Amino acid sequence: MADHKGVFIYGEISEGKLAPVTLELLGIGRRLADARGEECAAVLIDRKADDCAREAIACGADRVYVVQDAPTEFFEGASFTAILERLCTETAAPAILLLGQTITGRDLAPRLAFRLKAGLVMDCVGLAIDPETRNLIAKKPVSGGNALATYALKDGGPQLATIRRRAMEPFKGDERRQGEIVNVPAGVDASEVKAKRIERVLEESEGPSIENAEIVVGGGRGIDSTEEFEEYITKGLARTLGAGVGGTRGAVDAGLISEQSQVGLTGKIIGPNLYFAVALSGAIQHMAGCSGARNIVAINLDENAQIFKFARFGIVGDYRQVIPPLIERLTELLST
Amino acid sequence: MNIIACVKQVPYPDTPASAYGVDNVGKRITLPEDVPLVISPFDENAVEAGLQLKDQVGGRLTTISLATRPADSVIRDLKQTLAMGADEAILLDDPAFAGGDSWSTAHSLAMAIRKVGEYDLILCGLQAADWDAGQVGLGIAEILGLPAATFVTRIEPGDGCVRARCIIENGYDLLELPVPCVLTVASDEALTPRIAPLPGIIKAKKRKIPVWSASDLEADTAVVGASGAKTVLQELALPEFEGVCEFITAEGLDQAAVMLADRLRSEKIL
Repeated sequence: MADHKGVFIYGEISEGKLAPVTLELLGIGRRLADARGEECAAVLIDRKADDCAREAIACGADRVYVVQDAPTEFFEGASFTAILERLCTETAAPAILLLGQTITGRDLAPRLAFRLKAGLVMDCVGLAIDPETRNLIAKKPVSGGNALATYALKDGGPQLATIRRRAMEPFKGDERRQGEIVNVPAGVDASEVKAKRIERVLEESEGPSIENAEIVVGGGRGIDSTEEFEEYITKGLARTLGAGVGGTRGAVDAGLISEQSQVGLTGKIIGPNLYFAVALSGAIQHMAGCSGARNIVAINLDENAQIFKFARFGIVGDYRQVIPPLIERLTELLST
Repeated sequence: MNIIACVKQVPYPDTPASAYGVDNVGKRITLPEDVPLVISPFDENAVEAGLQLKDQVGGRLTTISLATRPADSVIRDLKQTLAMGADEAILLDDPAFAGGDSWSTAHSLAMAIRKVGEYDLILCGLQAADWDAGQVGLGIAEILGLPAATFVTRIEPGDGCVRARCIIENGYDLLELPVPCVLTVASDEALTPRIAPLPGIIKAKKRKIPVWSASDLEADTAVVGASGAKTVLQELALPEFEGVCEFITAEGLDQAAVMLADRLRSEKIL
C-alpha cells in the first residue's frame, strides 16, 4: 500500500459558504496535520465550490481538491463514496480523513471506511495524534453520552473519524494564507448513482434554525399538549426572545414537535448562548445535543430532575405559572 | 418480499446516568445486574418496519443477532421478534466473534446474510444504543455491494424497488432504491414497535433458535471478532457534570420569574 500521508477533511457547503462544521474540521485537521508535520487538504464536491475553496485555505487548508462534475447536484451516498474513494487512492493517499457528524457525514463516512478497508470512529469530541505510533486517537461519547470512550486506530491504510458539531475549535482564519486549489474530475458517471431522488420536502419551522440560534427554548415530555407547547414555547417564550424552538426525543414521540426539532444524540446539536429547558428531565441523550450551550436555564416541577445538574439557573415550578410572568418581564427588559 | 432485520441487544437505554460505571481493566461499561437487556430501540424500529412491509406485500422476515451478551438473553429477545411476527430468528454465537468492532461485526452479519441467501431488503437500526457507532448497516451494504440509504423513517414497496423516506437536516428526501438494498432505520412514531400478541408469545417460546458459529458462516477468522477490528478501545471514562445550579426562589412563581429575567439581564446573558 502507498505511503499514507496528510490529513483530508471532507467539506460541506451550506448557502454558498463553508458550513460551520467544515470550519471546525479545518481547525482540527490543521492541528492534526501540524502534529504529524504534514499537509491538510480539504475536499469540496459541489458545483459552486469555487468561492469556498479560497475560504478553506484561509481557514487552514494547504490544498483544496475541488470536484464540480459529480453526477448529482446534491449529495448521493453511493456516487460520492466512489468519488472520494478515487481521491483517496488515485489522486492522493491521505493518512487521516475527517468528516462532520452530519446527516451527510453519517452516511458517507461508514461507506467510505468499509470501501477503503479503513478504521473509523464516529461522533468524536476529541482527536489527537499518538506521539509514538502517529496513529489517530479518537474520543467519543458512548451509551447515549453516559460514558466517554477513547479509541486508538490501528496501523495500515487511512484512518477515519467524524466530529461532533461544536466539539472542536475552528482555525483562526487568515486571508493571507497561501494554498493550492486543484480541480479534480469526479471520474464517476451516472451509473454509480444508486438512489434516485423522487422528491425533497423541506419543513418550514418558525424562528431561526436551532443549530445556529443564539437562544433556544426547548420543551420535553412534561409539556401537557401540542396546544400548550405552541402557546407557552413556540408562540410564547421563543417568540418573545426571537429564539429557536427545540425539544427532546420524548417531546417528538409525544407528537409535541417535529422530528426536525429534536435536540440530542440522535437529533440536532445546538450551541446557543442561552438554552431554556422547559419541563424536560435532562436525560443524557438530550444533553448530548446541547453540551455546547453556554447558559442553561431550567424550569421543572421536579426539584430532583437531572436538568438542574446542568443548569446555571433554575426555577422549580409549573411552566404554566412561570412562563407568562417571565415573558412579561422579558418584554419589558428587551424594550429598554 | 424477503426481509432481513439485524438486531442488537443493549442495556435498557433509559437507565439513569448514576447507574453507569466503567471498568478500565476489562474495558467495559458496568451497570447494576438488575438493568434489563433489551433490543436496541432503532433495531426495534427496523423490525417493525419489516413487519409492516410484510403485512402489506407478504413475504418473510428473518431476524439475526450477533451475541455480544449471554446467549440465553439474546435468544429471549430474538424470540420476542418471532412473537411480534418475524418468521425466523438466527443467533450468531462463537468465541471467535468476541471483541469485535463495527468492522468485524458487519463482516460477521454480512456472511450470515449471505448464508440466509434470499433477500430483497436488509434493515438495520441507525446505531445501537450501547456504543453508538452507527456503522454496521452501511458496512453490510459495502461488503455485499448493495445500494443503501440512511435515516429511513418510512418504506414503501415498489416494483423491483423500494421508496424510502430519509431524514435530512430540515425535512426529508424520498429516495427510490433498487432491491436488494440496505436501509438503516431511525425512529418515527409510525415505527413504534408493536406489542407481541399473546398467542405469538406462546408460539415463539417453543421455537428453537438456530445458532450459527464462525465456521458455519465460513468466516475468515482474521476478519471477525477482535482480530478483525480496526480500532482498539483504550480507555473509558464517565462524563463530568459541571456547574452548580442557582435556584431562584421567591414568595410566588410570578416573583421568581421576574427575578430570573432580571438575573439574566444582570449577568449579561440577555
